[in-house]
Parts: sequence; structure tokens; C-alpha cells
Amino acid sequence: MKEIQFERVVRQYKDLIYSYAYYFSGTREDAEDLTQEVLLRIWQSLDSIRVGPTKSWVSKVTRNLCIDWARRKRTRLDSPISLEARNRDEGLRAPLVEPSAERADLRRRIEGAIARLPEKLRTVIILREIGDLKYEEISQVLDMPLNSVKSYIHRGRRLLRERLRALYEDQYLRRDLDDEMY
Amino acid sequence: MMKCIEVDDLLEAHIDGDLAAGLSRRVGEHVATCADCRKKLELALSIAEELRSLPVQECPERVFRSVLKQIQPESRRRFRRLMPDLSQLRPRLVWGLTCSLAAAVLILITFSLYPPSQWFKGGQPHYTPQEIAQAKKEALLAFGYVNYATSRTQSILEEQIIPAAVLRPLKIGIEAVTESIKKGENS
Repeated sequence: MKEIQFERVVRQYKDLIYSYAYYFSGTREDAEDLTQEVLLRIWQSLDSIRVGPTKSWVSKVTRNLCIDWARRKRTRLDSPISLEARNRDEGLRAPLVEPSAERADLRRRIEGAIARLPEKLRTVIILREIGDLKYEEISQVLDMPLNSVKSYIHRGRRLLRERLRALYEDQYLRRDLDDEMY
Repeated sequence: MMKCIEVDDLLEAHIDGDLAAGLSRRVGEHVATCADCRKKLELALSIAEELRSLPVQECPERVFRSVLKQIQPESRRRFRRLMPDLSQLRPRLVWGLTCSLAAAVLILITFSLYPPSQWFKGGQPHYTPQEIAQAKKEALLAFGYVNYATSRTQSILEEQIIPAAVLRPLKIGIEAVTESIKKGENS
């Protein structure tokens, strides 16, 4: 029964889809729109797929729609997200555990840096670190060899390191980092 | 000795253990003697750790509700009313409902083929012994289906899905039918 299958997919993957959309777009408002779009696409596709939806398949649908969305908005995929959108989004943020102000600031900067990565690097980082997909699963989603997946992950993290290093030079953040390191 | 720029390219792979043993050892040797690269390695480790700790974002319920409104609204509402907590009931529920429906169909067929008013005429069987045997067989089969379905699903069928007001008369009816058949056979 289509409804049962859809309900199972939604229960299993809705957080993965929403997380991907959130870290991809950088705002909760866009993430909600994107998640709706992905769920509707899954509903429409359930009749045509042969086997039950897998994590890789759901990730692939999500990624494709995120790319379409970015194109529709006529934004370059690696362009910085608007500061206004992020500021507006702050009002919607409701973390389960309230982190310290320093920690929250650092996390916000990292989320911002992820959203500014080039699309492929952003995708592998989100799928690996947040979606917890295996290298093989990411390889299926992106249709690329396993070694390329690893290489993209390393390059993505290296780019984050380069971009965040400048931020860490801020006195306040550097002190926070020093506390954690030593 | 490796150059800093070479090491910089390999730090993430070094952390993940994706370098060949020899290359990883050389990176380690360089980092041990170069304060600048050591700082980079520490930053790379911090970022890797921070990425791993990024939370999975919980999808707001309103997103799902909005999608439900858009997909087949009428059938969806009926579906939800029928199956209030699908995630828990699904496997037994589907099996139970299927068996119950099959049993109900069999009973209806039995009644339409062999209406009780035509079972006997003037104390004599109206139908041949073979027909009565066949009717008995089918009625017992239907009864067996209901029993089986009830034993598989028990409280779910009775308390949550099919009201007792429906099940009980059904059982009484089947028992009356089988009893009549037995009596007819004996006479």
C-alpha cells in the first residue's frame, strides 16, 4: 500500500532530508520548503521504483532537488548565503540542548562555512558527517568512485580549515580553541 | 623531509588514516618538528571533531502535515481514521484485516448460495447430501478463517479496528449456521 510505504519512508528519513536541506541552504525556512518538495517527489516516485527506497536513493533525490532549488533561486551554488537570511533564521533556531555562547557561535560559523562550500564538497561533507552515510553509499549518490569520495571529503574539510582559520584568528574564538586543545 | 605545502595537502587524509603507511609516517615526522604544521593539524582535528558533533536537525511536524494535505487529501483522511497508529499496528493489522475480509466474503457467498430458508422443505432436505456437505465445508472454512484471524490479531481487531458490535453478531451468526447444518445432517 502506497500510503504505508510513504509513511515508513517519512518516519525513517525525514530528519536526514531536513538536515541535508538545512546544511545545504543554510536557513530553516528554505530547509522546510525543500523538505516538502523532496517528500512530494518521493510520494510521486513510489509507484515507479522497483525496490523500496534506500538511504542512498533518498539522499540522491534530496541532493538533486537541492541543486534544482539553488538554480531556481539563481544563486551560484558556491556563493555565500545571504547574511539577512541567516540573521532572520536565528529567530527560528531552537536547539534541544542550549550550548554555551562560545560553542554556539563556533557552530554557527561552521554551519555558515559548510553552506558556502562548493556544491560537491558541501554534499559529501553533509552526507558523511551529518547523514552518516558510508563511503560506498556516498559513491552511489554521487555516481563517483570511492577514492574520489574520500578525496572530496578531505578537500572539503581542508577548505573549511582554511576558511575557519581566519575566523579563529579572532581573539575570542582563538581563546576558545586554545582551551579545547590544551 | 617533506615540505609544509605538501603536508598541508595531506593532513585530512592523515587524520582519517587514508594514507599509505610510509607517507603517513613522513607526515607525522614533519608535524613533530614543525610548529606551524602542528597547529594546522590541531585545527584540522578540531574541525573534524566539530563536524562529527554537528546535530541531525529534527524535521518540524508541520512540514509532514503540509505534505499530507497535498497528497490525496480525501483518501488520506479516511486512511488515518481507519489506522490511527499505523507504525505499531501495521504487520498484524494488515494480515488480520485481510483474513477478516476473506472470511466475510466467504460467509456472504455461503449465505447467498445456500439461504437458510431453503435448507429444508417439509422436514426433508431440499438439497442433496453432497450439496449440504459442501455447504458445511464452506461454512466451517469461513468460521476457521475468522477464528484464525481473531487468534492472530485478538485485541487489535476487537478493541481498535472492528468494533465488537460487528464481530460478535458475526460469530453468533456463523455458530447458528453451523449448528443448523449439523442438525439438518442428523435429521
